[in-house]
Parts: sequence; structure tokens; C-alpha cells
Amino acid sequence: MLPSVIPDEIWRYIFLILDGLEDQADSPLTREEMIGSLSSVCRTWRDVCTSTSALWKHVTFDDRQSNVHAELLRIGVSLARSNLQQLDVSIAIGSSDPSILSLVVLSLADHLERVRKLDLGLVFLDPPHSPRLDVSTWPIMFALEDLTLENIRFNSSTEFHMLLRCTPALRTLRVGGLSWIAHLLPDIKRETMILPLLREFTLDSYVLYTFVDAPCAMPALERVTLLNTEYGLSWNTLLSRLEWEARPTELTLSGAFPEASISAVLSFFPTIESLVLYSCPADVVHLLRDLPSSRIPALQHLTIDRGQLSNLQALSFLDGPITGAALAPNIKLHVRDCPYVSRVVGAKLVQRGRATFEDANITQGELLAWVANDYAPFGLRFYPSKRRHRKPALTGHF
Amino acid sequence: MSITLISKEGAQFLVSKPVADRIGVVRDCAYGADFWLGYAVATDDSMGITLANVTSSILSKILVWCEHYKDMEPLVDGDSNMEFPEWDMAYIGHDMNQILFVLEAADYLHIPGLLLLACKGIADVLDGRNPRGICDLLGIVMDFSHRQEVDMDKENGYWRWFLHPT
Repeated sequence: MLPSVIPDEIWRYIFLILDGLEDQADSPLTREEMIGSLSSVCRTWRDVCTSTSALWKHVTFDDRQSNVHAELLRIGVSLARSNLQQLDVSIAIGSSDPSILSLVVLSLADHLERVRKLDLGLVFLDPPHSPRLDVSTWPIMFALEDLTLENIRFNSSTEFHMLLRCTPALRTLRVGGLSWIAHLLPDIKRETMILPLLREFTLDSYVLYTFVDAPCAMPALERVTLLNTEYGLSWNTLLSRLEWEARPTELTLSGAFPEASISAVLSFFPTIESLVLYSCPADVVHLLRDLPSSRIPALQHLTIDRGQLSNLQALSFLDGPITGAALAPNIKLHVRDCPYVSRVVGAKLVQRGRATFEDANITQGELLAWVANDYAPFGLRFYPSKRRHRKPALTGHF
Repeated sequence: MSITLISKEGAQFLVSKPVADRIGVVRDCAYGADFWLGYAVATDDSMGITLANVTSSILSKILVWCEHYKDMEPLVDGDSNMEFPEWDMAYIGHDMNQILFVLEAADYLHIPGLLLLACKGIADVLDGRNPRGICDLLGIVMDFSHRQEVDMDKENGYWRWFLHPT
């Protein structure tokens, strides 16, 4: 019935659609498996696959999936077939051999200029002893927009700053896990670090140390995410020494932030319009005391995402029975995937008109029951899990 | 104004101008280069336009799509990650045989929106299948040489169990 009559260009387009489907959650195969599967059907399909450079722009290395040599070979094949496509590179190293990072970086060395997205992470290593990332020979990467580093060690802040100077087009920077960057050397000249296009910055406390003594200009910064918050660090000290030229509008705090830390952090971001507390502790409701409109006048949205919020605490955000103070009228509350907040309470929150409630775990039967009980008019939002696609999280703290 | 379309089997379908406008080949036949001026070159449409490569069943299915989109623009953007409306996905279904015929006809009749939709439908059906499953579904014979199989083994050794799971 087929495929000779269907032009190669159409198959090429279908393969690209399939490649895009792999970005969605719950896809049965990984991207590499899908491309490998398509190129093993027949000669025609293999020729179409190998000649479609866009299918090979995703370069991955994961030595937990197979041995190092096979992964390095696969990197070479992808780099060769991707021609001049901009690359999305994802490197995850699980081995304790420190030379593997060097090998992988070496294999990418000639193609760094066309890397658009670089995700580099060590999985199981202890940061002080993890291999060092040497960026001294890296070229200026004009295409790099998205950089994620996890458990990577730099010998000094200067090296990290050197990396950032190679990335003038950077829009998203995530440095998480326990990336270990030594303090700025005392005799280093203070030089303003400019990231003109950076919009999203995710970092943990160790990385924040590297910015303490270096002024930064990030005029386009919109979103800041602070990780690694369960450690009893003095955020107040760290943040007060930052010299950032930035006015972010969205702040995400992830982890078991101590209550005092939340207050300290908020006072350094007076321009935020949206505050997201991800996986926050149960006593976060006391945060209400720290949210007077005079301190954060622009705040419009407070999101509790996967927190240990109870029913009573959720309601107290709007009514204030626990704290004696409720959210300011102009602030909207968003409760997402909090397992201890029941749907009945969620419906009540939504009914007030100042809150939204999302629960990914609702089943089809429950949904039908809700509809039957006329809960749908309350504005509860349901979504199928297939469509639910969260931003890839840094494994260390999410 | 209406136009008669004649399928491969000789069945006649009378369609209105907005419906016929969705079919590039028909539009060109009926209006020629003066389509954009808004009047027909061929004033006598009683003879009809024969679509020799399209069967009646597929033509009637295609006309359902054209009827749906007679008053609105379908998606014609070539972005491979675009999402189609629910109606479109329900229309195209999961019957691979039928989707292939629709795709072939859409290519022949020059209906870009339907062509993209058929591509999306095929991609959805193929998603998650291993090479053996795809061959069985589409009736393709694996025609690799021994050398190509060795090359594939080297490149993709970790997923070869899909081909030879035992």
C-alpha cells in the first residue's frame, strides 16, 4: 500500500514531528531510541534519517545507559550528521572516572560555537572531589542560550566568570546541584560581569558565593530561582553583598527554606510580581506576616507548588484564622499539587475568586464525580498527565 | 456557484465554491491564474473536474475536511511541533491505511493543511513503535545489507534489542 508513492520530503517531515513528540512527557521511547528505530526500518528511511540534520541536533551522553565508548561514538555520529544545525547538548556522567568529563568536552571542542543549549551534569560525585571543568580554551559561544551546570567543580570564581564571558547570548543559566566554585581570589581585580540577555537565573548558595564580590549587570533578568535552601546559610549576608543591576519580576524559592530566610530573601527583591514557593515547608503560612504590600508592592501572585500545606493553612491564606492576617486583596493565591490540600478545600479557595487550584493526580472517575456533583463551575482546572510537561528540574534539589 | 468533482470510480460530488477553494488543484483548474481576481475563467462547470487518483471514499472524506474549513483558515504552518485542534485529530483518526491514502490524496490535490494533518496522524500512530512493528504496520521489507546492519549495531547498540529482542 505504500511507501514508494510517498516522497522522501514527507517522510522527513513526519520524522521531525516524531522527534518533536519525544519532548512530551510520557512518551514511550527516548529521542535516540525513536530515531534509531526509524533509521532501522529500511534503506529508504535510513537515508532520509541520516540526511536530515535536524534529527541529529540533540547530542546526548549518559554513561548510565551504556558504556562510555558507545556513548562517545554516538556523540561523534550526531555531530557529524547534524551538519551546521545548532546543537542541544545534554551530558550526564555517572562514572567516578574524572577523565570522562575531559573526554566528552574534548569530543565537543570543535562544535562549541554552534551549541545552543548545554546541559552538563555529574550524577553521583562528591563535589569537592569531582573533576574540574577547564574552560580556558573554550571559544566565544555566540549561539549558547541555555546553560545548565550540575555538580561541576571550578577551581576559582575566576574560572566560572571566564565561562560566562564566553556566553554573550545566554538567556537561561542554571547552576545547581552542589556545583562547587571556590571563592574569588582576593587579589583578583573587580570586574563587572555583563550578561545582557539573561532572563532566567537558577542558582544555589554555593554559586551565589561567587557573585558576592563581583558586580553583575543583568538588565534583562526576569526570573530568579534560589535552590539548596535547606542549608542554614546566612542568605541575608550573601544577598546584601550582591551588586546586581537587575530587577527580576518572578522569584522561586525551592526547598526547605527556613522561615527567617524567606523574609531575608524577599527583602532583596522588592520588584517581584510573582513569588513561587516550591516544595516549601508546612509553616510557610507564617509568611503572611512578611508580605505586607509596603515591602513588596508589586506582588500579584503567590504560588505554593508541591508544598506540605494543610487544608487549614491553605484557607488561612485567604481568611487568616491562623496568622491573624490574610493575603492582601490584590494578591492571587495559586495552590499546585499540594497533597494535603483536599479538593473540597481547593474548590472553596477557587470559589472565593482569588485563588486557583491544580491537582495533577485526579483520576477520570473522580473528575466525573466532580462534574456530577456540580463542582466544575467552581473553576477547578484538570489536565491530562500526557500534556503535563514540567521544566526539567535540577536533580539535586527538586 | 458549484463545481462537480469526479472520483476515480466516476462518482460525482457537487461542491460549493468555498469548499472547492480548499483544493489547490481544483482551484487552479476552475479559476486558473485569475483566481485572485475573483471570477472564474471556466464559466461552464457542468463537465466537472476528474480527479483520477482519488477514490470516492477518500474524496468524500477529504470533502468533509474542506467543508469544515470552508469559512476558516486551516493550519498551514510547517512547524513540526504545532498542535492541531481536537476536531482535526478526531477527523484524521488512527487508521494508518486510511491516513496514508488521505496523505497521498492531499499531496496530489495540493491541500497543504490536510497534508500536515495527515503527517501528524501518521506520526502519532508510529510513535513508540519499534522497527519490526513499523515494518509490520506499513508492509515494509527490511532491505539492509549486512554491512549496514553492522554499522547500525555500532551506532545504536543499546537499542538493538528492539530488532532482536531475544
